[in-house]
Amino acid sequence: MGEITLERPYSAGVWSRRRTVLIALSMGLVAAFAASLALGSVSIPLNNIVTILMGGEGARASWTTIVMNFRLPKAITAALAGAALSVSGLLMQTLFRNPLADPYVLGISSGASLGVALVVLVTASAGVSLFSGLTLVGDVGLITAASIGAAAVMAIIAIIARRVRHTMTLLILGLMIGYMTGSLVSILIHFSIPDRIQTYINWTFGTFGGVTWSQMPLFSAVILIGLLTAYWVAKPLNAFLLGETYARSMGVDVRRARIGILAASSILAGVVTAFCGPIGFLGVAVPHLCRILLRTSDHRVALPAAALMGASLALIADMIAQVPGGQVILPLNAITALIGAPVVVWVILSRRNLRESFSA
Amino acid sequence: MILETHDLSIGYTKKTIASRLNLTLQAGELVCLLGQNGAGKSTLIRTLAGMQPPLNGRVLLNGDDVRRLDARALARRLGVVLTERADVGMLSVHDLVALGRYPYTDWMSRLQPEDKRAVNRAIESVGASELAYRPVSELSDGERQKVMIARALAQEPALMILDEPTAFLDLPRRAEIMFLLRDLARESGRAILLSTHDLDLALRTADRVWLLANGTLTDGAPEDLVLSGAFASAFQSEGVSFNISEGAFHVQRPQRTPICLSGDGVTRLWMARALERAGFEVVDSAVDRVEIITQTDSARFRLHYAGVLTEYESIYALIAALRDNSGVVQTS
Amino acid sequence: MKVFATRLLFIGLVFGLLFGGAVFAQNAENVTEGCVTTFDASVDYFPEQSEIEYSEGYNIEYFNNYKVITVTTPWVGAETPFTYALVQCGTPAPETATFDAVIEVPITSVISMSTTYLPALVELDVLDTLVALDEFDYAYSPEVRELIDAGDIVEVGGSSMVNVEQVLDLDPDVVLTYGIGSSDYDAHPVLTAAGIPVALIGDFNDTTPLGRAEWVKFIAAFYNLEGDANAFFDEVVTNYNDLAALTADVETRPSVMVNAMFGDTWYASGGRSYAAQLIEDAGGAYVWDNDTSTGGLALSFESVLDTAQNADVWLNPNFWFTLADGLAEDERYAEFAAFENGQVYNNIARVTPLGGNDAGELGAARPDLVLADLVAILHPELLPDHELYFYQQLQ
Repeated sequence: MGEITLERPYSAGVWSRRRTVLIALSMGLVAAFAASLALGSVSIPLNNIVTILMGGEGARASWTTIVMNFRLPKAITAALAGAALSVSGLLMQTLFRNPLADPYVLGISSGASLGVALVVLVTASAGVSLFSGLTLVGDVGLITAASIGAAAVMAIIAIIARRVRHTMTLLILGLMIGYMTGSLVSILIHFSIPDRIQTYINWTFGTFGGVTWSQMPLFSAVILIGLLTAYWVAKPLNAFLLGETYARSMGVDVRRARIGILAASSILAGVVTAFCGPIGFLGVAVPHLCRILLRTSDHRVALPAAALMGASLALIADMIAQVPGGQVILPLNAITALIGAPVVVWVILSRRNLRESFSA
Repeated sequence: MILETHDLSIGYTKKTIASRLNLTLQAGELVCLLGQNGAGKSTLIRTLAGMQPPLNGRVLLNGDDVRRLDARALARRLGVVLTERADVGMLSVHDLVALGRYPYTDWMSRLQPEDKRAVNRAIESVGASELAYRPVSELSDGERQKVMIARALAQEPALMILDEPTAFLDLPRRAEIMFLLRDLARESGRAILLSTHDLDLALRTADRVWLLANGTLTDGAPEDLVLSGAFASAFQSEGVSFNISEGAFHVQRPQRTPICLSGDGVTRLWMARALERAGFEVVDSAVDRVEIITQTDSARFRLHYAGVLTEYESIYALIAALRDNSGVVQTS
Repeated sequence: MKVFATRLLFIGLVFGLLFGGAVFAQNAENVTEGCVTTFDASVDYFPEQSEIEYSEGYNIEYFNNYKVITVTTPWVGAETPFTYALVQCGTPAPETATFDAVIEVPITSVISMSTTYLPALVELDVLDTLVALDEFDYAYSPEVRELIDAGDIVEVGGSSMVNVEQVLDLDPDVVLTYGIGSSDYDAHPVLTAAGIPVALIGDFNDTTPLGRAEWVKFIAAFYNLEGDANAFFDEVVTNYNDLAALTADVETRPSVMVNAMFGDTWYASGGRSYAAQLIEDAGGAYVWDNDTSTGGLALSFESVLDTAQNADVWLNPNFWFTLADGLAEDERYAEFAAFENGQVYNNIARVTPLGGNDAGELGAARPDLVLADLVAILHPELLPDHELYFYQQLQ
């Protein structure tokens, strides 16, 4: 048995496609990033923007502030959040062999919303001073509350994940957490006042504009850790494509791999929810779009592609939500739903694609 | 000796399926595990593969207890193929087979030259070279199972265990796979154990058969087991019997009208089968009689029935006439 | 015969005097207590009347024994006006037209569904007629809080969640409430359906400070206390106009910005809104005065920064009590010059722990007090001795 020539033409074709797609996605991301700096409700000429980015001053002092303290951190936040959610969604879809799984399938965002609801809604309904509670509902307060909620759910998942044999059990657990927190939040809403309810609802719309420079180091560090962890488990993820039984037979330490996948996914979903609110649909839709584009489920290339595409789509969604030139700002979650829902519907309808992706 | 078991008991906490098993698997042999549904074939397979703990005893693979080996070490010695249609997302055949190198590659799954060689060898040995570019989802079931076998081969294991690998395949594909496995075992020096319901192919391809029935496992060459009657008794059930001379199963019919058949050669053999299907029993002497008249190109069939003599050109016409006339309804 | 005639004359004189006296008495004042015993169709029972000059939301038409109040815009986009017939108690109701409610005045019991009506009740000294409020938490006025603490008034719930049974039990002469035109939210549909007399007050639609304050006359009409209301309101008008005159010719007008972010949006008042008028009358230059709307503007942080980064004074930022509250909400508020210079003022000086704010309560009826605060903030040299009443400078 000698060398087979199947290798060279095959891999040359395959790898150049993957390379092309990754390069194209990177360029798309750069373009989206640049556009999001250039567009906004205040029209700032491009040359001013370039000057400001290079460290100079804009024609108006407010423009410098706008670009450096608003648009730039927002763009970075959107890109990181989009990447985080897409990667997290991909991990969940592979681990649970479910094409409709998203980053929140374990209940992470439900935990975060319960944390936020407790802080926003309870401090009013308990008759405690309406005003004294308000420092808590500022940015930092909300971030802390959401983080604690998300972390609590992560802890529950971590404890249970070590004990269960079947990964599917976690899926049911996540669903139950979601239902329970949902009903608790409705009870809190029922006893609260319109002002606070509006604040809570505003949080659920999601936004990329809430991360200031002082919060950026923490935010970006955690996301980078999550992304790197996700890449580190790319190899067992590929094995998981065949299911856990086969994966085990090929040498995967299933328990450890599962923990790594869960950790990466929860950290990414948790930090984004804490800083940006629960942003949906990106995590479900982007993995599918990547699979179509790359024509492979190989996670070594699907993960980076998902990160790049997710970042770009998040930036685009944010730009649409801002209605460039207009004064109104649409809820971010509505825009991501408009982008993502058609993708999900198409996934469901094109059953052939479903069968290709996972066991139907 | 690649695999051996010492005093192995398999089953679940509530139920012991078989006990005191001392089995061996040698290099280069293809062993088929046969038995009725529910006899415990899957349990034995899973216990031997280390997927399930034994109730008692040990399973040694190349001298090491399979329950003590870590996943990676075990994967280098044992390759597994299961019944299920593994839907694998969008992977090409090459990528799927390359997954078999998992226990050898680094964290980025980079394929070193010997990995690539192993993958190529595996693809070639199952005859899937032309499919290497194609996505797995586009393959037929038979091709897909070949690819899954290639993946297990890429692990370069000493032992391969397959759990009903031909369950969803049609007959030609099943034959193809079984012969492929037999060749693989012989040429690569691997031990291959597979469970199957396909008795006929098993009897033709296996070097040894493990017959699991009623809590006991009988081990031997397929022909030995047939002639000793072990086969017949293992698959004994109401109305079904194993015919040694034909090597096939017969369904016993309650009422059989006797009929006499004269003629020879292949045509006689098949006429006899047709008559049996129609509910008749071929005996040496009877009132009614079928005659086969061989001519140069074809045969004609003469029927003496209820005192009437008629002639037909096809077996179908004769049988149809018999049915109409005798009112014998073929019960299926 | 002579004795009989003398007695007749005497009786006639007494009756004449009584009659004349009664007529004379009736011609001078409205009946503020009790009912008329014998109705005379030729008598004008409402010698004291209110003229509505500033408010564009309602007017009052007087007839001999009843008044008709027409509320033209109970809410923005209302298509049909609401008319109420206030009939002098003891006289017959008019049968000439249909009204949204027919109420006998002076009323003896009232339910208030907003805190903006409370100052009128306090000022007119008819607080003893108050039997219930929608929610206790938001009331500021000390007199009302006394009633609450003593358990003299009841809480019936607000908007469409109002406890109709409880209101029926209390049997008020009228329920004063507001509507926004949404049958899901408004209280008046469910109350009217239960047969409870409801009067809609559209004070929040008036875009001028004096127009909004003039609704005190609306409430007074139910008590026949137009006289007192007129006197009170005239004083408010005088105070207000005097203050406005002070600033009419100032040389420099400090630029003023308002509010802060709510969620993702900064809701600023329109250029012709209530707040904008106050700012202009106080001698300020509203940064959004080129806008012509009377409602609100929904803006992004970016665009507010662009417009107002250098504004001199910042008013009414959400519920901040200190500048630190603002930073806790978003540290980028510090980019505004007004913030950096400590020129941030919020109308939270008179608040209760439960959420009551006098700026929205008394402030609605006393725009002159609000204006005084604003003049003192924007032009301290014009009112050097003024102590801020509703406002507080944030430290």
